[in-house]
Amino acid sequence: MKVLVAVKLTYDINQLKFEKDGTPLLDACPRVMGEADKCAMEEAARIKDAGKAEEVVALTVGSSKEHQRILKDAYAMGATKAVAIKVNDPDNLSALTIATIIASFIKKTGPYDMILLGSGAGDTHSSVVGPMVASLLNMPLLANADRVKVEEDDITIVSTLEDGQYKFRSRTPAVVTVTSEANEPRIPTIRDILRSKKKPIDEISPEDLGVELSKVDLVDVKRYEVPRKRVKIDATDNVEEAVDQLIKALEQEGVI
Amino acid sequence: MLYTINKGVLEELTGFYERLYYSTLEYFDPMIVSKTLHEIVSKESPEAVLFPCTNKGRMIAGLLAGLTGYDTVTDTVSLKPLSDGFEVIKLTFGGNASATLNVKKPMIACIVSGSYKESETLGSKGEVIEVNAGEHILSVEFSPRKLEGVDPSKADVVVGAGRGVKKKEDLDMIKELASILGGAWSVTRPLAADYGWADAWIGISGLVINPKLYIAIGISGQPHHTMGVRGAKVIVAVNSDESAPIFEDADYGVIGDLYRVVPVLIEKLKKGK
Amino acid sequence: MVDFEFSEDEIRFRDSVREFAKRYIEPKWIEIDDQGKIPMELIKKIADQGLFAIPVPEEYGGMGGTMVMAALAVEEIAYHDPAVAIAVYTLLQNGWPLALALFGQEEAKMEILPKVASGDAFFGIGSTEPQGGSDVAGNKTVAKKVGDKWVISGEKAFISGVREIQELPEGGGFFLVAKTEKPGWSHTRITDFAVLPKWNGKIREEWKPTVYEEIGRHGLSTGGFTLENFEVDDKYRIGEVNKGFYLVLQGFNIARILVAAATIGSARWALDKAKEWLTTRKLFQGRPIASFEGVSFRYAELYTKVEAAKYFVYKAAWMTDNTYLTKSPRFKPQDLNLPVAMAKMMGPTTATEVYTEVLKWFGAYGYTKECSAHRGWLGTFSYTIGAEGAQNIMKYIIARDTLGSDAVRNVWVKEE
Repeated sequence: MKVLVAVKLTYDINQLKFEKDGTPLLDACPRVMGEADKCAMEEAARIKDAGKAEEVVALTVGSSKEHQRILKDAYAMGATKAVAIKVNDPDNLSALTIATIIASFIKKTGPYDMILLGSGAGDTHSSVVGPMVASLLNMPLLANADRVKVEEDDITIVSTLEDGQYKFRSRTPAVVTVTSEANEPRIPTIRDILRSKKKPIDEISPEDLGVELSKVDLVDVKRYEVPRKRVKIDATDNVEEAVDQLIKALEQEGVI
Repeated sequence: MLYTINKGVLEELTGFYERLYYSTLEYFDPMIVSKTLHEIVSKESPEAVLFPCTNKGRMIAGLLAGLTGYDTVTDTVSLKPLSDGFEVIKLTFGGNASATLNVKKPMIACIVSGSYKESETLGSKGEVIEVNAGEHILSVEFSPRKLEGVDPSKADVVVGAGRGVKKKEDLDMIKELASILGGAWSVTRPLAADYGWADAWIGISGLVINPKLYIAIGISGQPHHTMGVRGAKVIVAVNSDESAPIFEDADYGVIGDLYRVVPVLIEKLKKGK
Repeated sequence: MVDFEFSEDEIRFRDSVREFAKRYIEPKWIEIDDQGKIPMELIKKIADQGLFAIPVPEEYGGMGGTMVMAALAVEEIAYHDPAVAIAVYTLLQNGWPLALALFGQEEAKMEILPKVASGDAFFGIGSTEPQGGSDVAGNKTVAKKVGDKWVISGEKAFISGVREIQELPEGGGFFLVAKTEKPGWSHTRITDFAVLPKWNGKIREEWKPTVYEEIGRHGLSTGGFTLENFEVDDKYRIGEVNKGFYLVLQGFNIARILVAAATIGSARWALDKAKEWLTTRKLFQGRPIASFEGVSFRYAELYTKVEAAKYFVYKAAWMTDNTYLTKSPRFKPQDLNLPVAMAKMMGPTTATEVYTEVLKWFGAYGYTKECSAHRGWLGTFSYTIGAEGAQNIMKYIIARDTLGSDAVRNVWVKEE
């Protein structure tokens, strides 16, 4: 099997801070490979370890030092090849452009038996890139997998959606997106890290793929907070009194 | 124009539509749903295709975007038509930020539940057209979510349990509290996905709910959970850790041991009745 | 000038250890401190993650890494195990295996080191004796040559790992310091050996261990043992006969850097816990405790000291890499004495100072078991007491190397 894993360099939103005027401090925010993307990479590594795949290509849109770092991490997790798409400002590209780049790369360097992505990026979580890639390649989509099983030329996933649990199955080639619950990604050992240091990262530009870049027309990004009253009720000593206080407040709000 | 694969929805619709298309499917298969929708969209040439911002919604939205080439936004909380497109406000960065963008028509958008109030006026219902979705592309096996009690996505009051609740048996008092308030109960993702104490959970990857009252019991308040209850009118949190992030997202934060607070709350509510 | 930043790979490595420690060590450190034992599964997991024998060359089954990486690993583990038992177990499985790799004989290295790297065996230090630890030249354990074997008799005390060796599948042993042929105070009549009381699953009867009960850092055992005519093949001799004193001191230098790294990791945990407390706990109508300058200024001092102590550790680690693990050494082994002593003096002392202050800030809460800061206090304090080098010996080394031994000397000994 030949597997492609598309990974994204995302902001670690748990560490994202904002200015007083609400502007996000993006430059100071650490950037990482998202949790779901790590699971996608882990899934591919397991398929390779099981002897079912000889090639695992890790791809990311962006060629900055940090993008190269997550590709090295992909190598450390078991990728056999790593590719960075040379784009200066990948964060402002539309989801469709990203998907088109990925699909074009797949068409150019394929055929691949399985395309793996995280089901939602760690920072934006729009979850549409995977499905877009499937449509662009006219491949079946197995999305939101909490569990993935790969047979000879057959992929089955278990996915939990709003109304219950689905088992989706399809022949290869297929696009699979995995959630951050799909597995526990391996932590690269020191040997994995040291070996990944020297591995080559191929670079390719969108022009070479025949893709025109389309940016998002962003007006602004600001901190968003649903204003909450943030009234604190201390129930560490007098629980009865605290609960009385709470019930009174909720009655006044008209919710009970 | 509306498209649904759930004919039962016809009885619940309150809004205005010119044409309602529906397909009858054995199971949800995103491939044939998106293909069928693509045919309808090609015929109707809408300025916008709107989806609920659910897992299914995002999936179909993405598939349709690949088929049509339309610009796509998700997590949308507001849309404003402009001359050649829309001004869209969407949530991002775990719901901690909102981005305002201009999107050209035609566009695809996923709307966050609770962003708009239900329409009061019962507009005229138009044509109802059946569309054959065709043969399944994926093979599908479906196990419906076992619903214990009231459906959290429909209830006015929801009580949520998080990792502060130590044993499965302790959920009994959560259920009792929900029952006294005439509402539903649910859990955070770890209690469902990791411990298996429930089938569904509240969060960005699970149920997104907009009750009048949400009571978070023993929940720390991680962004992927709180994004699921952003639309609640009033949020109450009970947690013994004063520095838990949930208190930033709560209207009333009770700092205390849930094992002491919840029983007292249940008792007083019972007496009040 | 120098580049004061870690390399990209050192950062990636540190982040991987952080992830590992968060996942597997942080949830268990308190339980381990309470139960007084590191579970075998955890030791195996740490080994499988490649965190033992980091600076040991790959040809002996080591990770082929550096002392800087070993220090990063130990510091991160200690941050998630403030009682430092797991951190110390890990550092011992890095420092003394490196010493064996540098000074031991090929056959013994090939036999012992891969098993340490895999987590199946323990290899620590056996130097301290009941009558004294700081005075290594005063050791009384004797090794006599009989044919092509050595027969060792004596008693060791305050040795880490005595219980673990008995429990690990392969067992393990110590970098043991002994007098050659006869006792008597001497620098020039010491030979070192890799002594394996339990090996290939068998415990030798000539090894009689006891395990002590300590007041803290419970996860790692400390004990003593006697050797009664314990036979050891000459292939296990570490270094040349009678050159052992200088080799074990080099081993101590290596281990001390990692000990300091552990105490700093633990101190950082205490500072972070304190930061949360000082900034969110409010008194006197909404004033955070940190708004009292007596508190915030003290925090500032302690933060600065921990940062400074960190630089000592990494400079010493970097110098060690450039002494032993490079094709073109920039330093000689004796150049490490002063920087290592400074690191080993500063690390534990600073950590203890941090904990003492932090416990005061926590008030009565700090006195409860729930708070757990006391575990870090006890753990790091143990390294001011002794453990790989008493505080006062560190001061002696610094004084001697800076003021000159002629001026500083107040002990006159003669070779016996």
